[in-house]
Amino acid sequence: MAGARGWSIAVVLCALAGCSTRTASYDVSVAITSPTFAPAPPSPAESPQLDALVLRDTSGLGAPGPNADPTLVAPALAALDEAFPGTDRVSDLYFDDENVWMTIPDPQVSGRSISILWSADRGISSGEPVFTEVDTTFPIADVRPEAITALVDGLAQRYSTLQIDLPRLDTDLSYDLGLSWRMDLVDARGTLATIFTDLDGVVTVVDQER
Amino acid sequence: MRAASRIPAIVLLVVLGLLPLQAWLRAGRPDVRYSLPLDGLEGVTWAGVVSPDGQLSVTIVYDFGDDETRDASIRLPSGARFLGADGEPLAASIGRYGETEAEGTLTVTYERVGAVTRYDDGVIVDLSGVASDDDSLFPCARCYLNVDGYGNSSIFGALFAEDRTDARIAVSGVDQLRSEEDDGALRFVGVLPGADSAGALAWLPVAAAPDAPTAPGVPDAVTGGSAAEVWERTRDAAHDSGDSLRETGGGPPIGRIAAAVVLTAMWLGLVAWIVMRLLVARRALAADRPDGPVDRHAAFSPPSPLEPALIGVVVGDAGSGRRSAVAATLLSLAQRGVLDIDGIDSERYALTIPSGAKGATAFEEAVLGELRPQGQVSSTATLTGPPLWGPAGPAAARRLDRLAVKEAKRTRLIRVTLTAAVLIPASLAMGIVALIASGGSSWLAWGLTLVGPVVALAATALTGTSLTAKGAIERDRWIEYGEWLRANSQLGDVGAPGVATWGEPLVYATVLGAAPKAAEALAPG
Repeated sequence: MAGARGWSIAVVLCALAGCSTRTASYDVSVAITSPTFAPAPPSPAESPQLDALVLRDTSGLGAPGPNADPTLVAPALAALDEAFPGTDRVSDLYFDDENVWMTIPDPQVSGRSISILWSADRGISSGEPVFTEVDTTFPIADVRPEAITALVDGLAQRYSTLQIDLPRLDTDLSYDLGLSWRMDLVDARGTLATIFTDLDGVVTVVDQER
Repeated sequence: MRAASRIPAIVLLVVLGLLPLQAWLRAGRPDVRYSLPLDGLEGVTWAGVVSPDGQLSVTIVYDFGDDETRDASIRLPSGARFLGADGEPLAASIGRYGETEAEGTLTVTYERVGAVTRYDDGVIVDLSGVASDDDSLFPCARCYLNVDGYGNSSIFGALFAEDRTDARIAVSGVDQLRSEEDDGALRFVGVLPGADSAGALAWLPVAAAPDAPTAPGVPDAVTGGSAAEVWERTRDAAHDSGDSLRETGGGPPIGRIAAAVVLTAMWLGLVAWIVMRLLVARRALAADRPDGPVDRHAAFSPPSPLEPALIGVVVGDAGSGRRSAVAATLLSLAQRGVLDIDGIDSERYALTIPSGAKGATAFEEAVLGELRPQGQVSSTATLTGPPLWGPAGPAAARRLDRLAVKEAKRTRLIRVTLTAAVLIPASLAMGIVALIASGGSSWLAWGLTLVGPVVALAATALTGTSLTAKGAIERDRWIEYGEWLRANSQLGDVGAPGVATWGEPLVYATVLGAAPKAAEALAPG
């Protein structure tokens, strides 16, 4: 007992006396080398970040539904240009296997926006204008149909058991990542992950609960 | 006793001189030392690079300093993408955290959007964490990495950019910070108190990121019209939140230099004081001494009315022959009739202290008190000798010696060469200053704060006392008188009872070594 007390006192005294000290040398800082930026992958579906995705056992079941069709984006934008000539900004663009949705600023009244729906069968239709408080539009030039097509097609090839659901380009849903595409990857058990990509389709974040 | 030895003082000065020496070495050293290191997180290394288009790539290495495997939660700043851990891509919740397993070290990499903003007068890289700890260099390192305990860690950092002309970096949450623009980067090193979070704010030239976005991408970030404005506002905001963003120069921290200067001044002051005291002591020995030998005629009689105890102090061991100030005091008391010494035979005697006998000085009173049974003044004490004192004699002799020295100091015949009242506070003060300057990390400062006063006390004791000018004169005169007594009397064979015959000369001969038989008969040990 007395020995333990003595040892405790010795440890405390040792700590007080600065027995355990360390040195942080400036030389270590001098030796730090510059980080590098992620290299561009050969194709969006080969984005290194996708290696973080962990697939689940779905007992041989396939994708729960059809993939979104990125080939719809280009004709939808062409139809928009035809219906609303001069429109160069858009917000909240998303699509599934049949339809493309987007919102455009009302060309007649500033501060209002119009919802647009396009499908190959029905063509373009628009909703009633509504007032919007915050401008979340981005240039239509940021929508690169070939990039999103390469990504979705590549993902479909790489992950045959996953459904690529509702790719969406929206400022608010990009969080702080800068304007990003986001889409859900769904397997037979439900949503597996949400991925974010830059405008070139390179995957930047894989959001997957484990 | 009176020799003013320089060696203890030199030892003390050498020991205390280590403190300013260490302070100067620390002041010139580029590294920092810290105490209470956190077991489980030895250090954090942060590196970032700003691309011309304002992207920021970050690598953070957490060095756990052990081989334990731990589940680590990685908290990410807003806008973090391309997250990797130990070279492998890692999934991250949009709530901005990832989970991984780490062993030994953990290397986290990501790119960050929104931290770099371009203005007309410069580019601001905001990693201050003013809006949120998550947006700093890293949030509380200890908290999310499954590191137990509490302590400090080291932090190393470097921010790279293509152009660093007039670049500045301010860092928060880091102690003992050193930073400078060095070898292609703004670099810093310091101590992370409590292994908590750290932030940084950098101001780069426009040429460092000419294509960076002009609007801050971080929500709630401090905004302004110019880099200068954002720089000031962010620093103010950090200051208001209690975590100031500080810049340091490339040289040693001013605090270290100041501490070294203060310690050096204290040490030099102590050196000057000790040298002065030793010189004064030496001069006192030489001052006012007669140029030639003392007049022999003057040596035929006692040169002054100094009591035997004080004569013993000033004369010390000079000359030959057994001597005793206590014996001389007893003979002086007998000679004045305060007590009786009656011979029983040629050697033995009976010493009687009558009831109420009183000495004329503190020393005489003390001698009487030592001899009386239980110190009772009201009863008569009769003692026979030799031996007079018995087993308690040596202890009584030491007590009476101390009293004699005390009385000699009081009468300004001697003085302490180096007083403890100066040396002990001085050594304590130097230790404490060194401790504060080192942030408690200096073993030497701790050691000398504890041991210094002991060394100072030893120096005081070992350096001893020295004669004053007055004491030196008394010493010379009494030595002359002692020589005369040895040469011109037959007191060497006179015992204690001889005081009735020889009177005063026997008293002085006993303290001067000219009456060894009487001294032997009455001395306490």
